[in-house]
Parts: sequence; structure tokens; C-alpha cells
Amino acid sequence: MDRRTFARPTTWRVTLLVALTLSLASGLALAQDRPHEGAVITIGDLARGISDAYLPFLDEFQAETGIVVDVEQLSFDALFDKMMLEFAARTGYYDIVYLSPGFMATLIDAGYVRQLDDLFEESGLDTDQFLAAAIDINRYGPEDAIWAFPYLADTSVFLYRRDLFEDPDERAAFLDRYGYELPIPTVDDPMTTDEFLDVAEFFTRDDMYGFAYPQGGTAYGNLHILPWIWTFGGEYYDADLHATLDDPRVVEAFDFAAQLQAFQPDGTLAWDYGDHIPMLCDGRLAMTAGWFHIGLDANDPESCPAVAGDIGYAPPPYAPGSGLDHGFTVLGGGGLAITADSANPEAAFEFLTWLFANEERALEWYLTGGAATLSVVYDAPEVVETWPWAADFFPVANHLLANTTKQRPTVPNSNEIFEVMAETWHNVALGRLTPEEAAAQAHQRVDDLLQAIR
Amino acid sequence: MASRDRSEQRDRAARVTHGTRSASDWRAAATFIGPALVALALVAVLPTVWAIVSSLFDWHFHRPHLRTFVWFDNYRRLFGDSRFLNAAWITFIYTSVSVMATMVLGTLLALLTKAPFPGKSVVRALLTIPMIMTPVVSTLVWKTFFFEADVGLINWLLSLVGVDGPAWVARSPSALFTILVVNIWFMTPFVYLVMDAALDGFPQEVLDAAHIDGANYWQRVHHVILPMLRATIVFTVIFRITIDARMFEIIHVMTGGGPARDTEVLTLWVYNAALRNFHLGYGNAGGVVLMVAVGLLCFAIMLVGLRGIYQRTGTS
Repeated sequence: MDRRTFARPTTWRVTLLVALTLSLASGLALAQDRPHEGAVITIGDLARGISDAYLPFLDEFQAETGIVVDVEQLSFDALFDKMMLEFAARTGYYDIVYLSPGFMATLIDAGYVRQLDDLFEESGLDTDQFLAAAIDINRYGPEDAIWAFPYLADTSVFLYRRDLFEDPDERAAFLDRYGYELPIPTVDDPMTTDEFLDVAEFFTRDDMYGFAYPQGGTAYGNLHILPWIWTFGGEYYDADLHATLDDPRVVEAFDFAAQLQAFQPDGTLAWDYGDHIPMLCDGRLAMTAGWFHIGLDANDPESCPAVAGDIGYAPPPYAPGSGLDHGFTVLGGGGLAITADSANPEAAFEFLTWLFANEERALEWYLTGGAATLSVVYDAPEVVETWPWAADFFPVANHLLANTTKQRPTVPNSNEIFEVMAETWHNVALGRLTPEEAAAQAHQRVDDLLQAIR
Repeated sequence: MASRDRSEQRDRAARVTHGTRSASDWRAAATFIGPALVALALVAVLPTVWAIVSSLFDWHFHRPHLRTFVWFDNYRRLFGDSRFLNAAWITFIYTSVSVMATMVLGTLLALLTKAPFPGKSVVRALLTIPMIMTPVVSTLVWKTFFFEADVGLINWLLSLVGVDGPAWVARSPSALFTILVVNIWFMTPFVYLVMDAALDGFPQEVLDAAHIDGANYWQRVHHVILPMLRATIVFTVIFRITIDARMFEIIHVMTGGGPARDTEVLTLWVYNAALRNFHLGYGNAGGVVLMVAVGLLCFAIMLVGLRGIYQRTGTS
């Protein structure tokens, strides 16, 4: 093509048109790949290991999508107070917040977080790829809608000193004292609550306690008594929101917990999250229970050198008289909810999907301190390569998530109910209330609270 | 020029003396005081008014748009609420014991360090260390290092003399004792500093005269020093009451109000009612009751404590 030919108006126009079309097409393609480019997502999360572990992914996400993610990591109280102020003022400051099960119903009821079912449906994301518990903890309402993205599914695994339980001298001494073999709990053959008390009593010595679990404040006071009430067949309230605590099964649960208290350190009534770890790692607890990471760390030679390799994993004890063949643990963890006032809900969902629903990234997140919510992560060989003792842990953990966990009571004034139950339990533990008085008093107070929302 | 200035000053003084001020006087006053008044209104008056107004509503923090004016229903409810009454009682005990103990200890320390001695400035500095520490940090140190039931220093020391120490923070009444100890440790330096400053300016000749009259040390303290420091003591007591009645961090960190609400003071009650259970109007009603109670108590103390001084100096 000589200069004159190119200079012809027709040729020049056609060339320009082609160039424009090409650039428009590539621009459109780019826009389709990066539909939310320039959006800024602000996340309000708790300051802890699992949120630290996803920070390294943010730059990669930004480079890939053009979406900027800001993460604010705060303590529970600071995050909750700030979040509530932002919600009340409807600022839309947070796009994603950590949704704790204790306050889930309150926030949903107030219309502060967004239902996610439509986003799951639009994205074609298969909810079955997640652990059922990780989805269940974020469900609420008569339609079981999903209100938060799976982020952390957890429960209390029972831990016991396998070395002591298998020690021939200890076994002989136990048989001699109680007239039956020292039971070694498994998922197929858990201990009964009576056996549990005997074992706790047996191992309570000068330098060791039979059992310990944090019971301080509203959160842990409630987390301690609630699963015992379930285990004995009781509930806080029924489907019609009437209290059901004035019940012999609840009395039995209070009675059991009071007896167990004799074999626990005195300070447990003030213990909060993780306060039992030092004693566990010092080898001064024969049995305890803890969230998943506590269970895994207990056998880690770097975290708990004194007892690493000696910790066995077990389901909770069950109460044969309750008619149930297993005990219960509280479903813990929570999800990442998209706020109702978020200006970028789709971009927020894109981030959650990109990180937590991608097998490769979810595994990397887990291996660097995150949590596991995708089923495939639990089965990945890298997990057992990294933590060999996980081979013992995960079968028990999965069994608990699938069989013994229950969502804690979730109503808009859950926290007030938890306050009553924690206070009532503390009064029983301090010897101020008999189990019968405790059940009757808690029943009346919880029913008064439920009356407000019936 | 200079004589005109002096003349203007005289005129202004005359106007002020006779209660008449010109427009320029008011403008000057507004310029100087205005910004401070605006700042005060924003940070103190408005929140107080808002708290009072909101206490007249059935108002839930998580649903702020749904509020109902209920007149004084929240206040009526408060006085039938056993948890609120318990918190009020705990606040009274906590404040009374803490104020009395810090006043006695702070004053004694100031008296002990009044006379010059080598290293006095170092001792003074050391005595003020608790006050400059962050309350949350120092409370955590007390909780985990001193009061921890199993490995804490106090129980270890008790075990040396054959005493089995309690689970301080988890039992009653030891839990209340722990928050009192930490607060007394934390606030005594404040009283010490105020009393030390007051004693520094105390006229030595008065003490010498009492000494010549045959008064021993404690008689001089009792009959000379304390009466002459009464205004300082009254001021310090009032300040201490306003701090302790509103104490939050130490109790929140040490016991969280437990066990079984045995250390739940009113500030913690308000926090739980308004921010954890979302009863904003009801929680604020509790806060207003606390504010009024503390205000009335301080006013009464001022009235009784300073009466004699006003009469003596004729400044009222």
C-alpha cells in the first residue's frame, strides 16, 4: 500500500473503524473480566490468626480484579461497637463484617446484613462444596436463608491425655477404684456422663485436674452450660418461643455440671477464651475441650512440647438416661456477611468467592493459619503432611461437625438469654442455687425475655 | 496616648464594677469565651442532653428508627430491676471503699515524704508510676501475674505459709476485692501528688508554733495540717468519687462484672444494657441516674465540706 492509497478517505476510514472496534472490543472484554474495577471493599473482622492469614492474598486479588480490599482487624468489643454505630447511622462504611452467631439474629432482624442466597444462585456457586456446618452456622429464619459466607466452622473437641489413659498402672488403679475399665473414648464408643465424672475424679490430684473448661462471662458461661443441657435432653425454649428450662433434664444438667466443677480448677469461672491452654500444655489437665485450633495445637511440638503426641481426640460424653446416643457441642465460628448498606455487594461477594471458595487459595489460607470451610481442604494431603497428627484429629472433628454440633439459640435477644443462663450457672457453681432452683429461676427469666419477641 | 489608654481602662473598670458593659466588652468576651463554650457544648452538654432525652424513649440501638416516647417508664422500670439495683449497690461499695482507701494512703504517703531526705525525688517518681500506666495493661498484669489462682504470685506466697489461696477473680467476695486493690493501687498516686503539692506549700511557721505549744506529730497532723488542707481534701474526694463511680476499664478487664454479676458496677450495667442488649433508652436512663446521684453527692460534700472555710474567709 503506497502513501496515496492509504491517504484515500475510504481506506483511512475503514482503518480507523477497525481500530476503534478492536479497542472497544478489548475494552469490553477487559470490563467483563474486571466488572468492579476501582471498587473499594472494607472488611470489619476480628483481629486473630485466621484474618491475619488472608491479608497476603489482597494484593493478588487487587491485581486480578482491580478491587481494593481494606481490612480492619479489631477486638470483638471494638469491632462490635463500631459496627453497630456504623449500622445505626446507615453509613455503609463496612461492606463485609464478621457475623458472630450470638448476635446474628439481632443484625438480621434489624436489616443490617444482606441475604446471600441470590448471590450464591447468580454466581452458580455450589454450596455443597462447603462443610455443611459452615453453611448451617450462617442460616437463619423460617426459610433457612444464608446470611453470611462460610468462613469458620468450629466446635469443641474433647481432648484427653492418651498416655495416661493407656498407662497400665493408671488403668489398674482405675479398675481397682471404680470396678470397671478406664474407658478410652472414641467416636463409636463415647464415654457416658457418669464415666466422665469418674474419670475426672480419678485424675484430679495434687498436680493435675480431671477436667477444665473456660466458664467466664456471658459467652463462656453459656458455652459451658448449654451443651450439658442439650446432652441431658433439655433445651432453652421450644419452637413457639416458650422457655423449657423448668424440666428435670435441665436439673440433671445443672447437677452434672456442679459435680464436674469439683474436679476443675477454681479459676474456671473467670476463664475466657483460651485460658485453659497453659494448663493443658503444662500437662496438668487429664481432659479438656477446645475449639479446633486448640485441639490441633495441643499435639504440636512447637506449641505444646510437654504433651505433644499424647493428646487424644474424643466426642463429648453422652447421657444414657436422655435417650440420646451422643452428647452435644456448640457449633462455633461464624461467617462473613455483606452489609445491607454496602455500595458494592457484588464486588464484596466476588472477593469472598475468589478467596474462600477457590480450592487452591482456601488450602493455602488454611495452611498459613486460616480456617477450613471447603470439604476438600480437610481431605488435602498437604494438611497431614504439615501436621501429621491431623490424621487423628480430622475424623473426630468431622464426626462432631456432622453429628454432635448444634447451633446455639438464635433469637433477636439471644444475648440477654445467654446472660441469664451464664449468671444462673455461676450461681449454681458458687453454691448459691440448687440445680432445681436454678432451673426454675432460669425458666422464669428466659420466658420473660422470650415474651418480648413472641 | 498613654493617658487615653489609662482613661479607657478606668472607664471599663467602672462599667464592670457597676454592672454595665458596652457592646465592645461583650464582643471581646464572646471572642475569648465563645470557642471554649462551643467546644464544651459539643463534647459535654450535647451528649448529656441527648442521653437525658433518649432515656425518655423506648429506643433500641439496633433499630434506632423505631422509638417510642415513654415519659419516665424507663426510670420506673429501673427501680424494680434487681440487676440494676445490685449494680448500684456494688458501685456504692466500690466507690466508698476505693475513695476512702486512696485518700488515707495517698495522704499518709504525702506526710511520710514531706520531710526532705536523700532520693526524695526518685521516691516521688516511683510512687507515681501506677498512675501513668495504661489501666488495661496494669489490670491484665494484676490479673495474670498476681491474682491468677494457680500460678499467681499471691497464692504462691500464701502457699509458702501453708495457706491455700482462693481463685481470686472467680469467687465472691474476692473478685470485688481484686478490683478494689487494682483501683487503689492505680489511683493512690493521684491523691499522693495532690496532697504532696498541698503540703509543699504548707506554712512551716504554723507547724513550728504548734510544736512549740507542745503538740506531738499526730496532734499536729490531726489538729493543724488536716483542717488547713480541708479544701484540698474536699476537692480531691469529689474528684475521686467522679472517677471511681464511672470506673469501667479495670472492672471490664479484671472480672467482666462476674462471677454472677457480683462485680457489675453501673457503668458496666449501662454498657451491657445499651450496647450489648441494645436497650439504648433504658441503658441511658441508668446512666442518667448515675450522673444525678454522683452530682448530688458531690454537691452535698462540697456544701458540707467547704461551709466552714467560706464562713472563715468570707468568700461566699
